[in-house]
Amino acid sequence: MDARLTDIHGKVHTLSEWKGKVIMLNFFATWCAPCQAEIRDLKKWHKAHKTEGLQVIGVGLDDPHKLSNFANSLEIPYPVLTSGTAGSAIMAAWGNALGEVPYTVIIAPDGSIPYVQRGTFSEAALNRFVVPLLK
Amino acid sequence: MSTSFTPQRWVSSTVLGAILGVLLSATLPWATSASALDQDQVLVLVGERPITMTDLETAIGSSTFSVQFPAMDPNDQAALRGDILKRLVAGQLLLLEAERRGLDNDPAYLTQMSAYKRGILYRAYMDKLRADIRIPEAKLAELAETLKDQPEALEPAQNAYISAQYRVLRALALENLKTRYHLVMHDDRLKIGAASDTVLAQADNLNLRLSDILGEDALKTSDDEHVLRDRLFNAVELELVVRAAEAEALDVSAILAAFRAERLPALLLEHMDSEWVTDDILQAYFKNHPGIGYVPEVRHVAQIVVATADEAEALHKRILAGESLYVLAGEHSIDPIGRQNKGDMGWVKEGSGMAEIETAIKDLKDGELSPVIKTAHGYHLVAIYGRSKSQQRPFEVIKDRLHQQIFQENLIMFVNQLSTQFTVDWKLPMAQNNDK
Repeated sequence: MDARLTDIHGKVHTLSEWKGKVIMLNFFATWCAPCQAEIRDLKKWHKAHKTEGLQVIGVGLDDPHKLSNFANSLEIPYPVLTSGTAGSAIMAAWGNALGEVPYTVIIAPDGSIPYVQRGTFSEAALNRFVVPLLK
Repeated sequence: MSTSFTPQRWVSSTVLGAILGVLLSATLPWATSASALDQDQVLVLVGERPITMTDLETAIGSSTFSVQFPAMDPNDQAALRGDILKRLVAGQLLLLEAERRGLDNDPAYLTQMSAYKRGILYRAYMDKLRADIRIPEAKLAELAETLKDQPEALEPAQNAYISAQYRVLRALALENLKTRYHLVMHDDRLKIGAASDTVLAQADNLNLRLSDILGEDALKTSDDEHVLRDRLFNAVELELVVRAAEAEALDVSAILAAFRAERLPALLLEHMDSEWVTDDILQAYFKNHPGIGYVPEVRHVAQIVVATADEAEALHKRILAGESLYVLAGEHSIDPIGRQNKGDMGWVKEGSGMAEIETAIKDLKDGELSPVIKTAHGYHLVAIYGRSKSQQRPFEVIKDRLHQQIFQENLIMFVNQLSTQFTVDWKLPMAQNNDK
């Protein structure tokens, strides 16, 4: 699927913009403590692997204003998209019908989905499923 | 003091922060965003003691709103940072005063500190034991291969391996300590009726007696020997491990300093509490604040608001003739919410309405319709369809609340006085003219 989502600066994006990269599509909410803990790792991995083709994308599931504050406070360096009221439907489309957060989908450069993480993403999962896909 | 409160209940370290939260209602202007400041940036000096950005961030991180904080508006974040910084300053002022009064030599404090230190030394020794465990490369490779498709299970599996190794290592370490300190157990002497000075365990420079494991309790015939035996073995283990930790010079000074910084202000407030809040003071406060125990009446109110007196009078007649106020409100009220709810205003606290309406319905009986009441919003017809009567709560019922209120009032004055007694040097640019 390639839904059009707006980022916290008001710019509209589709996933096809990042075609050819290894995408970590991370669904989170500002009220979710494990999400906040995980974002520290995502920032670290983004910095370490962005030149090798890793693209972390956050999809925030609550109010865009809060998401903007949140992204600024945590100094999130990767794009943060807002799901608006369609958060549950978007997550369901990505295989998360129960709406758990955090929830991360790995999208390979060929568009396949080699791994889905329910709950916080571990370094071991990164090394097993993400790093081998990078250049 | 003969109130139902123990001082500890009021000023335990867990409530200290909450109490200090009411000290200053004004928030501290925050000059810059937090991210622009270095973690070692000194924000304020209280006496000679710095409060740094790290101290503040730690306090925010351990607060109840830590998760919500990043999503707040920048101004709200700044206000909250300022508020918490003031709490930290108040805590430091109380610490300085506690030290000035010599509370760090208070026998109760020294006993607590000693017990805490022994517990921390025990934990530090065991933590070190665990931290020194290394998983062999071969085992790591085996786990990685077995769990290659379940990466989230790898860390728990590694932890389980370390835990198993730790259990073995801990048992071995304890056996070694028993040998090193020449422990001899006399647990066979542990019987109901044994004298409290009965020696139950001996080691180098150690005679552990029955009184040591009983604490302040006397040995009762109802005491279970098995429970006492467990206590004995735990006490022996603690003694041996603490000795070993001290012999290894494990550094727990930072943890003890943190305990001291938290416990001394709390101890000071325990002392102040017994001075500020006595039974006589509570009684006098209750007498001098008659409104403090008053619970106002709550009424289930219905009303119609219309624009003209004539319309109101006409509706008044129709309701008295038997038509429903609710139905007519749904059709005629100019108050959008009242109209939407068909005149049902819900449960309204006495005194919270407009003065003209409060006066007009003061003596209204349940189900009785008011005369037309004129206000700035129009012409009202009001009826009360249910009420929870007002009450005056007696002293005993609100004593806890009175205690809290008196304590807080005194605390505010006390901390303000301390802030003039000790130096408080704000280092935030925008805070230079604040609270001086």
